[in-house]
Amino acid sequence: MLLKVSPKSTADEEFSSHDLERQIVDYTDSSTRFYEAPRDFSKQYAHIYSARLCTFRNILTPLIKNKWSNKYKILKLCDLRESGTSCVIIGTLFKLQELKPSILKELSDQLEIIPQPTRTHFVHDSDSLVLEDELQRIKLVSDVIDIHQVVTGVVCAILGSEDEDGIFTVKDVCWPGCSIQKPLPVRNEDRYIVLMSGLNMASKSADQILSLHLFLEWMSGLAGTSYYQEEVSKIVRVIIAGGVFANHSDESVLNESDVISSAELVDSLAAAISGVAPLDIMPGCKDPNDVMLPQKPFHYCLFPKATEYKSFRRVSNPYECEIGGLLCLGTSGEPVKDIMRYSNLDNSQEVLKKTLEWRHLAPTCPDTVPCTPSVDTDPFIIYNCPAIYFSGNADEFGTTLYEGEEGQRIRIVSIPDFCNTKSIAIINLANLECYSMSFS
Amino acid sequence: MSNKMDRNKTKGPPPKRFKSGDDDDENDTPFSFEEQLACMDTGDIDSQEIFEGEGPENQSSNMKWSRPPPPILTPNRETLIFQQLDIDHYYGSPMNGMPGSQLAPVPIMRMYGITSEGNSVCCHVHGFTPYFYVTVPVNFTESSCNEMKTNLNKAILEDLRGNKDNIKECVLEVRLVQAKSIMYYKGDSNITFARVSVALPKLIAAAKRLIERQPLSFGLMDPQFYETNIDFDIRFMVDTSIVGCSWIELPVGKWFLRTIDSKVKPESRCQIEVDVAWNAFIFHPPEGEWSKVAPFRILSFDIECAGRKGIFPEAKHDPVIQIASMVIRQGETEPYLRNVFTLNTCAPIVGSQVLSFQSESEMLSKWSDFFRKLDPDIITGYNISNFDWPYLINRAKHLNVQKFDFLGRIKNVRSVIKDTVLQSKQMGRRENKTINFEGRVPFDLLLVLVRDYKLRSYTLNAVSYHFLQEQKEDVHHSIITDLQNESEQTRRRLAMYCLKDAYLPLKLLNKLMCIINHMEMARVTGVPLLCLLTRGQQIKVVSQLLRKAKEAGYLMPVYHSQGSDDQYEGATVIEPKRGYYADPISTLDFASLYPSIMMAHNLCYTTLVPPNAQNQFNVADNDVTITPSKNMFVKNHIRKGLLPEILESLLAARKKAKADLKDEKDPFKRSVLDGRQLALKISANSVYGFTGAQVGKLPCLEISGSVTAYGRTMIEFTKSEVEKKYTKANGYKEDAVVIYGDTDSVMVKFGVKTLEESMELGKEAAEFVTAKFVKPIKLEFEKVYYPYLLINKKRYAGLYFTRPDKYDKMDCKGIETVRRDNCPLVSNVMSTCLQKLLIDRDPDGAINYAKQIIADLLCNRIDISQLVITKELTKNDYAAKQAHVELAKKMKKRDEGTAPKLGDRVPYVLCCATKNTPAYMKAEDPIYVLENSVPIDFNYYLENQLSKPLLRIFEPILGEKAESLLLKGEHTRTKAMVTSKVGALAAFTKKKEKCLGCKTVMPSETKKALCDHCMKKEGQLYITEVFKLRQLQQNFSRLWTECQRCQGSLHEEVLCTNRDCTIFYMRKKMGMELDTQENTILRFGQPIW
Repeated sequence: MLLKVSPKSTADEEFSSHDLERQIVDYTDSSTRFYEAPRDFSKQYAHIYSARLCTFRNILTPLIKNKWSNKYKILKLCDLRESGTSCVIIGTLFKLQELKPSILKELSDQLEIIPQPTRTHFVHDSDSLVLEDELQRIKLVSDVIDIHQVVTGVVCAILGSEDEDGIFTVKDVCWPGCSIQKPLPVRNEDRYIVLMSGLNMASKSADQILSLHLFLEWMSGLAGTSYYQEEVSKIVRVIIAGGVFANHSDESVLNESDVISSAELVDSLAAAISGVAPLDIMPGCKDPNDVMLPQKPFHYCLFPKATEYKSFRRVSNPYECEIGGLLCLGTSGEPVKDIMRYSNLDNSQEVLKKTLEWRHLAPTCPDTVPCTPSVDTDPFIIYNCPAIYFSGNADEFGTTLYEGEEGQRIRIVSIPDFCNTKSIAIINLANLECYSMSFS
Repeated sequence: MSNKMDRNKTKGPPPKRFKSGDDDDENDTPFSFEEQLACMDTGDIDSQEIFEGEGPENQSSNMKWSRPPPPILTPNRETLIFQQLDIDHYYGSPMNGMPGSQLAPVPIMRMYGITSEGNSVCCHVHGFTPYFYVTVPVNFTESSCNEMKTNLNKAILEDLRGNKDNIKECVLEVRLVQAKSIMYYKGDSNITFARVSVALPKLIAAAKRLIERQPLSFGLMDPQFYETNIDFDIRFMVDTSIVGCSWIELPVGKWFLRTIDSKVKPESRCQIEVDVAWNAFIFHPPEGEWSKVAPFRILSFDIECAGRKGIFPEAKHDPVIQIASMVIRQGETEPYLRNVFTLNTCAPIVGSQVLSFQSESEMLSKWSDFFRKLDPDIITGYNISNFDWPYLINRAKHLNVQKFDFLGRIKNVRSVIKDTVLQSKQMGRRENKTINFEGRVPFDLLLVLVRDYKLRSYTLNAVSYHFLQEQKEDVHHSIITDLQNESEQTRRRLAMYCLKDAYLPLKLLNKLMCIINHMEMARVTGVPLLCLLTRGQQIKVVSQLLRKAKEAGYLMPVYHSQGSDDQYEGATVIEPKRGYYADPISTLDFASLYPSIMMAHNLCYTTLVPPNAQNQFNVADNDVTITPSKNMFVKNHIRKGLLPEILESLLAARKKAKADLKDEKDPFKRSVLDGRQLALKISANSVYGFTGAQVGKLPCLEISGSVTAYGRTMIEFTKSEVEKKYTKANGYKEDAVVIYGDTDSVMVKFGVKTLEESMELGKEAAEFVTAKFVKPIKLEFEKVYYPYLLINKKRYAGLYFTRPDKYDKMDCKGIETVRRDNCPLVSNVMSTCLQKLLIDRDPDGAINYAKQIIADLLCNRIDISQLVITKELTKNDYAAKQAHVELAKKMKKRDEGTAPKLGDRVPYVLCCATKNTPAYMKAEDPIYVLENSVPIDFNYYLENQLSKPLLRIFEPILGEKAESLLLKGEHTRTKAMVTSKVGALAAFTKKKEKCLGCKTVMPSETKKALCDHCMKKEGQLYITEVFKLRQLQQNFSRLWTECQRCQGSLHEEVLCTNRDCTIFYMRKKMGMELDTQENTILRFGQPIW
């Protein structure tokens, strides 16, 4: 056990140095769909919604049959001619939110004198919900959907009927749910992966550098007893989930010159980690990279030193890979934060759980999270059920084991912001146990 | 008060909510129009009984459309009370038992109105006879009257060619009356007039003409005519004391109901049709209980036409494909009836009725059935008078749709289109089409807005953004035909636009309270509602003057406009001491200056002593006032003037309305009262204008000249009094200086540093000076400007304080913030500069900001939408060449389909061209400019648009050096060079990549981003470029998602081409710049290994 080293052994053992080999497990990068997202800016966002709806229509149709047997017709809104008859509609949810920031309003405000209050949370009692299919939208009323627990962009099937006023009363709802999981491999020996995020290297005020040094020493096996060092050698991979240059805290404004001056430090750090373990580095929404999801990997020119290491990999955000037969999927945290901004969900594990049930990594993308106008597919749909599902730059460490209806076991991890918490997350691939470790 | 009101008015309906909350907080979400439609209340018309259609055309096909069924009425036992909305007259046969001539034809008045239950009423008023007055010689006797009657009758009958109306007796009566002329004070003795009553109103003009030609044959000498030029409807209203939109009561037993069984059959489409004698009904002045408003039905509609590519729709060729209608009851906030008539099928729209038709003729015919069934009282829409109505009527005529044009309330009268020209001082010359809808009031919102508001643009988009902060999705007319031809879904989309276009005018009417304000104006001035829109200011004053004159026994002479060039001196101003004042400036205003001068000095037609006639009428010197313009008026103890009386009652009424407003809690009643006090204020001010209007009904330059002369002297007097009293010598802190004075206000610098002190002194000075004036002239302290920027005469800006703790607003006069021929950049820069100067009190900041904008402009960092100038293409050949006309021609050559057509607004920017190219050749389509990166002529914008207004506001601060500082400084040195993709040279130039670090030209074969020298800074330069990319991406994403939300659909592409929208060009530009930046970043190499 990496953390629970029995205290009695420490006293006896020598603090001598051993040569230990870093353990290796199989690794495949499965993020192709994120790397290859089309980037044609003459396109609009309608296509990504259409692609999303189309995919989910195929996913939902069998589920609807399961849930409500063949009792109700699946209709499109345009076929909804008689009110009162119960039917099923598949569509994208859209939340009307008064407080949602609008660039139009901001532009008109430039000419006004009264400044608008800046908000970070956009939920209001008056928020209302509509469902939209390929052609039309309809207003929903429901006791079964709590409007403050859903967000724009989620696709679902609703059961209910339209009333005289053209409002649809929802009696039941069918979420896409978590997809079927590939059987998890059986592993007897402990193998660990380290998840961290929010290094915030461009910040001048932060005090994370010392902790990072401690982390580096620990990674390199320069700490603890030889038994402990052996445990450390079982760390097979480090994933940094964004926030490398700047973290996600709302008040941090990214300053170009600070980023430039920290570039060398980031490179050295990446090189140092890569020197001792395979490293995957994901960009975050405030890092010097695009803002649109999926974010491309960091450019190699930012890492002249680290690029020399074969173990150094710049990866996309979101990122999907298979480590030792376990599928890992996650983002640097922006989709989760955005969902929290537009709903009353305030716990990031809770949000992650919801997104699993919605089978979608980032439903509010493109509405409130910038996104490339992708054409034929929606890359953010969770096509394969992961074993490890993470999100970076959380306020604090948090983890739960999600157990699906069909026996899926998914380790949900909110990776803490390193700069603020000085901690990282560690997952044991053998049993999906997860801990945090602090370096303060 | 208005705050709460506005909230209620602009609000959407309370939406159904999840997690049923019981909070009262209503919803303000700007929801998509579709949801708004969906959750509107579906109406609550009692559908117990079907209204029996009378005429063959009144189809009772839809119960929801018709009015509530009328009660069963018994004239012998009940009164009938209704609010009249329109009054007209027609020629008909006299009715038994009614006063007036018993020989057909006689003029019969018709009043149309609504009962408080919402039933429509048509009331025929019998027995009112047209008449006029003419002066008679001294020896003219009763018998001369008979003689005159016979002769005139004979003369007119001979004169009537054909006599279509079969008039048997033209002159009904000639009798002598004693009265005074309204013109001049000529002592108290009456003179004798002959009052000539004729059979029909149109005979008045004929009679006048014939008498003028041969006065002697009628026993007259040098006849002067009085009141021959009064509209018959106004004459009727004056004589019966009715004012516009007032309540009428028909007393028990005095009225007769028309039914299918009665002797006289109904002629109208109204539910209740009655007859009454002109002197047998009761008029309720609009006060107290009778200031209420009946539940009028207001219909707003919009049509869509499928035009051909490149041609503005013509009724002869292009079909009407959709008609959307929305109906609201006055006083409610949401329409209770929404429907759309479509040609070909259309998918259902939640919350609205869709009626689809396979043939256009059927659709038009069914719509006119709907219109008649609905029986609207007020018809509104956007530009319906000049587009929608003429198009519908002409189209129906072209398709030979039977009975489409029976749109008024009288069964057998067709609605026809007439061209009218309205010439008014207020609006200039306007050509309009008018259409008669007997009994209904066409209330085109566009006309109302053009009349009452000064805006940059009057498109529905611009107007709704301005007043409602709502952008409207706009579909280019070239796409409409495609949408129509595709499927029922695309037609549904079209129907959504159409419904929205019908809904917005209602929303605006509600927000701006147009109907209420106009109704109050009609009540105050006594003219029908329709007159307010179709006529100028004069008729309102005439109506009031006639009412007063009648009461006091005066007659109004006919004035023959001589088009004289007599100019009286206008209001002058105290020469401004220009500058930027950082100390508080107190402003003293004369309350209702011109009206109070007229009241104070008893200035009126009736009090004006004719030149050199003082002795003739025995007026003592101390009984007259000699005005500063050397005119003489008798004082009010000799004779009280009519105009002062009118003004007194107007101002007293205003005072009362304002007092009532304070106490009233009900928001709707408050809006009525507020509308009234505003109407009263405007009316009071227009009285002065009436006396000065030289092509008016009764101009009197002696009055208007005296008024302005008094105004001038009073301003001067105030200045000298204030400067005399508030001096150091008299124990005040500083010597007061009047820095500027305009028509009715004086700006005083007391030299004190705090708002409290300046307000205190302001109040004191106002009282001090007021005491020296004749009542009711009153100098009021109203506001302090702090700071104050005085640019020139009528051009100033300041922060407006009425209480010391917080400013009320920023007040700008005559500064380029709304001018329509400027690009938006100018007004935006001006308002920001003024904000910085006045609110932030940061002159340096303002200068730096202006410099920054100039630098941004020269470096191409200004968004193109800020530079777009828009002009309407009204005709193709102007005498002088104009930029937008030339551009339209150019665009037509490029693509006939999307080129602007006659009536379209042409947006353009000015582009670089070779030296000496005239400006009109430099205009270019903004989209073309974006797509081809055509260089914009920034110098033009700097020199012709920005420089003058900027210098104007900065000169008072910077003085002489303003120009050199602002326009010639360091910040103007760097200029962006844009290489055009089109143009003469573009074909020969070859673009070579430059190093992103040092801008050296790269060898042509390499694709690298940097030269070898800059390679070592690669990471740093990359980050810089990435930062630009991030900003662009952020904007791109926000702009396009905003458009999706605005159009109310996620799955459909945004088609909107609303060029008035702030983000239209930005959206386009962002996509292009993002592509370019993405490629620039790619020169660093693909990030994937």
